[in-house]
Amino acid sequence: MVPPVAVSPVIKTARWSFLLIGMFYGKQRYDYLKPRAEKERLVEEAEKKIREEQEKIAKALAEASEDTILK
Amino acid sequence: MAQAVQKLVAKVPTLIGAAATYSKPRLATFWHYAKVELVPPSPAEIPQAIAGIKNILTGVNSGRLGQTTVKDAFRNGMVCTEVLMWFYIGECIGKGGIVGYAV
Repeated sequence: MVPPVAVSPVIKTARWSFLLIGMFYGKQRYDYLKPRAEKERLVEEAEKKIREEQEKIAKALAEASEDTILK
Repeated sequence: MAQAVQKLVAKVPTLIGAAATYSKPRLATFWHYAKVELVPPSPAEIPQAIAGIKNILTGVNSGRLGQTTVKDAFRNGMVCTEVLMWFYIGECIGKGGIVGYAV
């Protein structure tokens, strides 16, 4: 087997510091995005309800005003 | 149907044994190299790393880095890409998932 290579300290420190920085960044971004996603979900639910109400009204109107004898 | 499932369940220990025998030597080689190459830097190596980075910066300023051959530049580029990918691995660990944020 090829003997293991002695990796330069620059590369080693760079790798592991990037790993740690990445872990911090991931955690921070997750904590930033989570409450926003919750708010977005609530807003989406409220809007969905309004939209469904309007669709129901529109559907009822459409049904009432269509002039076919096949009722 | 039930018999097929039974036969499959009876095969699972053999499959696990086969997987273990297959992976043990490969894990051993991986560990053999990782023990030397992938370990974090010891506290004594961090000043060396800082000196190395200063070296690179002086190389940039003096124009020595403009003299690298394409072969060396390619190799260095590959190493830099690998080092940068560790950031994304860290991000995956920090956000607790591989694809996307599970918010």
